[in-house]
Amino acid sequence: MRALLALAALGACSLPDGDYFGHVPAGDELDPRVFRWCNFGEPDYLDPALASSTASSPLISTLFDALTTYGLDGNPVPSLATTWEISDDLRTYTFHLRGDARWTTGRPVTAYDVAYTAIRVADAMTASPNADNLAPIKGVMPALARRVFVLRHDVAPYRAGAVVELATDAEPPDDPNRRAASRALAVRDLGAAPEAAYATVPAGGEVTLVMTSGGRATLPTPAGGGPWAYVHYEHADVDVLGWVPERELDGEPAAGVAFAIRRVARADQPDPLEPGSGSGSDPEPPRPVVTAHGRDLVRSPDALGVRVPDARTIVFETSQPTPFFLPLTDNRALRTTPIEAVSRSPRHWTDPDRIVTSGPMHLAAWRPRDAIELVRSPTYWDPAAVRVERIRVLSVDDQAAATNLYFTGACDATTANVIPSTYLPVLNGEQRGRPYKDYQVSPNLGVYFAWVNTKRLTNRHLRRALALAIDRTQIPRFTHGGEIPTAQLTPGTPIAQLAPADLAACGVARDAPGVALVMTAGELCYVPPPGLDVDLAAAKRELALARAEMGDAFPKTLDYRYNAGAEAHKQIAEYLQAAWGRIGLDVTLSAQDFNSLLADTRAGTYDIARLGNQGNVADTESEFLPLFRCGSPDNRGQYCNPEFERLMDEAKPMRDRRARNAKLREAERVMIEDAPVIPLYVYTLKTLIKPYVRDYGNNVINQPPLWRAWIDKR
Amino acid sequence: MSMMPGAWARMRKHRLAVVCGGVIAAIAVACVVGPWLAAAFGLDATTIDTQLGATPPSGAHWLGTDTLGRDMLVRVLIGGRIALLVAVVTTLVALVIGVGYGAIAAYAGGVVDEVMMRIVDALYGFPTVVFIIVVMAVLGTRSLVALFALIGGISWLTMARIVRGQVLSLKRREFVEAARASGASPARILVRHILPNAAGPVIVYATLALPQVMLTEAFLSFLGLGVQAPLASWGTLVTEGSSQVLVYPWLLVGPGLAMGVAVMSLNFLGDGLRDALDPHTRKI
Amino acid sequence: MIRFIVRRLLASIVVVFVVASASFLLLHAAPGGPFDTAERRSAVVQRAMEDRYGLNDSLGAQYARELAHLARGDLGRSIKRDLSVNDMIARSAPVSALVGALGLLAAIGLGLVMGVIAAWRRNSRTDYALMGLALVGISIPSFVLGPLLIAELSLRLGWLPPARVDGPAGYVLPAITLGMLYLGTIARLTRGGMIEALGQDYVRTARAKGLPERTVVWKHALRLGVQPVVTYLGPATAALISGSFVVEKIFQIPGLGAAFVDSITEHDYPVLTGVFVFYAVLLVGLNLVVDLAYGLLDPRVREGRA
Repeated sequence: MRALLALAALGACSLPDGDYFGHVPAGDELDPRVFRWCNFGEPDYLDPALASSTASSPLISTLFDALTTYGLDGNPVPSLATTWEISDDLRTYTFHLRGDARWTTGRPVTAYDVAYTAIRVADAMTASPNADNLAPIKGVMPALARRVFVLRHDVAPYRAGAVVELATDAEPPDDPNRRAASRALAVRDLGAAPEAAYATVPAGGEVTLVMTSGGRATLPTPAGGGPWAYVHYEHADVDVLGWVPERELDGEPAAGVAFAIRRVARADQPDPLEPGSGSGSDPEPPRPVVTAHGRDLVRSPDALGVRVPDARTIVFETSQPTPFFLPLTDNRALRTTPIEAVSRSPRHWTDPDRIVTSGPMHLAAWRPRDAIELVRSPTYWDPAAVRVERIRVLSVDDQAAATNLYFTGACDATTANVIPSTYLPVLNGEQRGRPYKDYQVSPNLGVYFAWVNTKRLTNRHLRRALALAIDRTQIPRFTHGGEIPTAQLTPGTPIAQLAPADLAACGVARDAPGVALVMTAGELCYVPPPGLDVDLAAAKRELALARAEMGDAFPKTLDYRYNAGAEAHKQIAEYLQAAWGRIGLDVTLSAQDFNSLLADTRAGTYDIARLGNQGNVADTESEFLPLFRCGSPDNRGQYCNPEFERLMDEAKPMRDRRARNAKLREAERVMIEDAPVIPLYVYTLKTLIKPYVRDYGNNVINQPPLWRAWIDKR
Repeated sequence: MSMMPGAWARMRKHRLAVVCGGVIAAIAVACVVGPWLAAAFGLDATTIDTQLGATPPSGAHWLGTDTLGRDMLVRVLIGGRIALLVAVVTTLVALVIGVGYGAIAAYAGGVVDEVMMRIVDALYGFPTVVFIIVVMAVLGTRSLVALFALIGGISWLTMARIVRGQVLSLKRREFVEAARASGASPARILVRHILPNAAGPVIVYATLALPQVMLTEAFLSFLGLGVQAPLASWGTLVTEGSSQVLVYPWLLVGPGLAMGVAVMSLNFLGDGLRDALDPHTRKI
Repeated sequence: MIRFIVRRLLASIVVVFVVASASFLLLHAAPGGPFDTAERRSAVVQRAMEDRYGLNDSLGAQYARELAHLARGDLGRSIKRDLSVNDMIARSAPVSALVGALGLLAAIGLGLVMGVIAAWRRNSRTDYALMGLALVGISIPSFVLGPLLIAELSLRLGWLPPARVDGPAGYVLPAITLGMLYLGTIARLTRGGMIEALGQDYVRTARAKGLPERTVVWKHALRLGVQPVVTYLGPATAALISGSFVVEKIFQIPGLGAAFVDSITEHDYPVLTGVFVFYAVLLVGLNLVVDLAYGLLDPRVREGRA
């Protein structure tokens, strides 16, 4: 009896009855100088080249500036770069940098800093998990595999300066960048006196050459005395980078090693092209394989599609026309890193006592697994845009604890998706009839779908029947997160919720169904074709056609796989099973753990399996459609349609973005009508934000600019 | 079974222990039979009703419902089945290992005994639960059998010591000498003559091991390493409830209370048994 | 005596070596590599990362390297963050130790008092009530008690923070939750020890001399009565370690237990096994010290045990 009373007492709950879920302190209790933000998890690194955790991204965007940065809506806005030009063929991007950007040491941020960042990420020694983001840039992927070199001398028929690659698929026999010095090396900053060395390489010690001064994208050679070399020295506990005069590197251990090389393909050659390479639409001239030796070759940033004509201009060259290059510039991989600080301590330069930043805020303290303190940067070029003095980032790795902290008022806002899914019915108003006002839901650039294995379910009608049988509108009942049911592959914002300017850009009426992906606010929009949405009559017709065509080969049962993590997956599975049962298809369900689901879908040993895809950039051509290209390792449905390939290839060289989008839409329509995939809903982001926090909210790619937030005491 | 004279009398005097014995028996019966009874009332642990969602305790649902609309009382009873199953089987595993180990050590005597007991001493100070965590986390083993083996594999130490002590003192008694003289093999002597007389303390420590094992399983479930879905034990129910205590506190209180009462009853019962069967080794 | 010390020392070293080798074997028996990810990552980048961390060397080379590290006291390196396990321990162990010490102190203080009173008023209702309370403490696991305390004292009444130690108030709930583990056992051990002590001759002598009962109990009997609690310190530390996993996770305390639990979900196996070796060394060392202390005190042990 006592037990039941106790239960009842606790049940008569602690949940607030008012408008807001969390405790809202009175205005005069607030400290508007500090914005307290609950992050989910501990950042693995604050070094943009090394960070791969979701918890790091917003912090990195706040600490380090980039050519563009995230606006409130998630789209790139000018930051370090004030203007830019894009070549007609969409392969050359020229950025003009502002003159008033400075590091916290006072030195100006230059184009050489941006180039250094790219060079560092493209170096295999850095082992950056973000290197794939730079893949469109010429030479980056081969450089990571240490397969591309620049000729130092003429090696017939190629001239010195030509960019060459290993001609075979074998491992490189050695590294031509190995250097040694007969005398001790004083490792220092470019142009500095030997007394200013911060590290010493003992005589005979071996270093690796990374770049030399005076190159396409490297700092100019200081006056008096020849070029300088930037080297990497690693031995026992010492790990350091730095400049030394190149003439002091008198030993080349790999000088005599033979390499079979040939010039790189024209598309990968940095401008200007080698004489004899032809141009434009000419067929590629032959590239004979010759033998060169270590002394003739060097791995150099000159092989990359990066060029710095002067301190305030940087040019990127891509192998293929790349319309989505601009959103890459605010990505982690291109957040500027300070060469002096990185050189002295390549893996610990982000410690609070050593770090040098260029962004709106600077790192004051980092208590691991506890909190990170950011303070207003004294040297940022737009101080008026930063309206708080400090941001206190609480690293909480338990969803319930984070929500409790918001509830008691220890955080002013949380990051997205930190709320336990079981709380959602309380927050979204299902339980008490009206939602809490500090609970925010908005679309996320990701889509939950089911792959259909086209190698097993070869009949198109059968697959179409599967898609047409599902009424997706019921699915948010299981997920409670305001998810957006969709039959379209490309995710976006529901058309009904678009801003008027975006509506115009998308060229659709307000009452049109479905979603649209806003690529540039008010300007460029991609409207995916309608998918195979619920139509039971059509589903049955398709099924009948399938039965007629397949005869005995018609499957008696099909198997739907899902991962056993969240209860919602199971409920959706059961819902789909029931829907397919209604049109006469027998489908069994199998739960497995996530890793084996990934493995099985990659190997093609399944019928139908749930997965999803998340985009980093608002561009379906780079984020969603490539999943369906023949031979792509991410193409888990093994879909291969020559018509789709043709349309995608036709879109590649198109420079007119609207025409390109139209072509892509046609490609997506061809694909979705074949039903290799059954989209179910667009993911959403759920956040808790106190009413007095302004200029902070979700955006579609989940990169809110933290430093824009401020506290309104009124 | 020969127990100390007057043991039963002492047991009956120790009313609390008897009551607890009854309580745990009632819990066990409820867990086994209850879900079938509840099904007759239309309550089960698997029907999902997302419209209903989580509701506090009420007349229709005595312990409330969870976020999927499942009746918590039935979930707790079914969770109890698994919890008790794991506890009993694991304790049996520990018993078999411990009794075997202790008996062999004591009967063999000499260097063998010395070495075997040194190993037990070393393992006593070992962070055994941490070891299981490392093994399960790294190898990714999640099966119920692995759970029995691993938890049982660390819970036998006290049993071994107790049995060794008992066998040591019994091995010099007359009836053992007689059996030896009549040519019986050591194994036969152990099994037929010595062990039955050592049964008292073994029962006591087995009873005391049950709640320990239950708590260990719940602890592993809290870290995500114990019983895996779709099976649910009290440990997993408590873990689920603990993360929802802000919005649905009854999800924690129901299973927590059930587990607490079971563990407490077993502890009291074990205490009582120990008083009855082993009065002069009462250290705690 | 010397023989005793040497034997225990050797046994301890053997245990540590076995633990280290077991860790290494487990580490490399783990299915999948540490850099497996659901994200799209090219083979080239994956290869570069694996090379950087020496994961492509032979097994024998890796074992030799790790044994050499261990001999120097180096417990390994995390692969998710560029941090050595030694640094992680140095940073987070003090926090765990502080919370544990607070909990233990509270438990000892309260538990001793409970045990003494229970023994003094043996078999009375007070005795049963106190021992009942002690048993409740042992029976309710920390991951039930903790969230319940949070629900009541923090979320509903707002008296204390629900997580994190941002000030002295943040230590209260974690210390209580952790301390409850020990409270029950200490109270029961004290009671048992005190009952034995109170039956000793010298206590009867003290009574006969006319000393007030309070002095007899608290001054004379207690010295002998606390012995079982001292023996308990070894297992207490083991309980502290596993208790810290739960308490630090629930209350988001950046201690060693939290780091250990996180390394499970992050699949950061070097941290997992490195911290495990640390715990083993800690416990073996502690037990060695306790045994040596006992050996010094108890002549039977000194002589090599009958």
